[in-house]
Amino acid sequence: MAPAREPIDPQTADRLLTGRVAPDDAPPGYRGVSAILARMRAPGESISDTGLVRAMAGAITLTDANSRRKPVLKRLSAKTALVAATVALSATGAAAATGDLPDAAQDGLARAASHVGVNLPESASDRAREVSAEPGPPVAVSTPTTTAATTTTGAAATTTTTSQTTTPNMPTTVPGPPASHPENHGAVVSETAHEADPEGGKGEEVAPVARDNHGQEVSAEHTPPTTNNGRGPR
Amino acid sequence: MSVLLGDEFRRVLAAAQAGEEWALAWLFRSLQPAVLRYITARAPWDAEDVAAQVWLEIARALPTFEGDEQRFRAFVFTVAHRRMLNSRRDRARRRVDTVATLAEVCAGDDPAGEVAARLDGDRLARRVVEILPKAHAEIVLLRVVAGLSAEEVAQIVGKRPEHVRVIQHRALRRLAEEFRDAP
Repeated sequence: MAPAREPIDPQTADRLLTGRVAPDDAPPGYRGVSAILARMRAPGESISDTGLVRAMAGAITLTDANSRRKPVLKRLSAKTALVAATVALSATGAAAATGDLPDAAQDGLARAASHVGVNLPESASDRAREVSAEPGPPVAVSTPTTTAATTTTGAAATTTTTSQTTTPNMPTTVPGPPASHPENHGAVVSETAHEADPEGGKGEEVAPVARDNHGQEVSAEHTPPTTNNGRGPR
Repeated sequence: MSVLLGDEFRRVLAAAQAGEEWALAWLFRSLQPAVLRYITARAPWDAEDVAAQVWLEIARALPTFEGDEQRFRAFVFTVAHRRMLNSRRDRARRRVDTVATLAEVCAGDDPAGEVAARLDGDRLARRVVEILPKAHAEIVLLRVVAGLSAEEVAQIVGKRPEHVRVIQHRALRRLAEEFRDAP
């Protein structure tokens, strides 16, 4: 008859598993377990596998060679990244300083830089607006007047040719490029002649334009001043 | 726990990390029987192949290994555990019936004690796996065959040491029922 099995405490269980309880010393009911565990623990037949050991040595050599190469690659990668970042920043900075970035990027950078007290030029389109707003020789070309003119003063208001919002009922004499291009005089005259009423007074209409260089007089007659947000002259 | 080399381990490890074949052969010979027994118990269909994969993985990681002999043992069985699980998953994916393999382990009608008397260590380990629930058998194998502490086993199987102790206690009770007549 098998001996009655008594409950064992965790310490005894641990000792059984680690082979510190000989079968003869095992608690009642655990003698067989102790013997089984001892046989499971006994070292098996010693095995040698020359081929596998050689493959292991090869794997170690390979790993070692890779680990020696890695730091160099890492250093190179870090250096390359640093150089690339420096070049990219320098190039962007230089382009931003000269205003050669695309309009959106240039405007964004200029705005951002202005917050930290650095003045960068704005985009080409913004520059064009600014140039057109600067005091200069007025032009007869009064294309649809614009809200961009709201920042201009005096006669310069008439130079607003890059319109965004048009004002209806404003006479449109000659649409064309900004008056800052003196070579447009011919085109202005030609366009004035084309638009003039053929039935009468064509010569009278064109002559002042041709004579007066960009038709200041025409401008004064046909183009309402757009200063002060279009509220009229001061 | 299970110390084979003692103070010599450091010297053998350094040589093995340098790729010295004699040192690698020493480590292999000292642990391969237990590794093979452990894997055979859980994945008998390709235990030798899995064991070879274990040693190659160990070799690749060996140059950066740091620790004493017991820690190395735990490292080896951590790899063995993972490889064994992979093998079992592969086997399950291939839908190969493992019942026949387990049936080879021991005869059905034999009283457990008589069977145990005839089985060598490897077959006993496989018998334990058959008797116990998987998680229980895994813990008994890692504690007995691999010679790891409850803490080391807990780390390998992803449980808390207290949980491992509870499981091993239950496993011993179950084995005591099965092997009470064993010599």
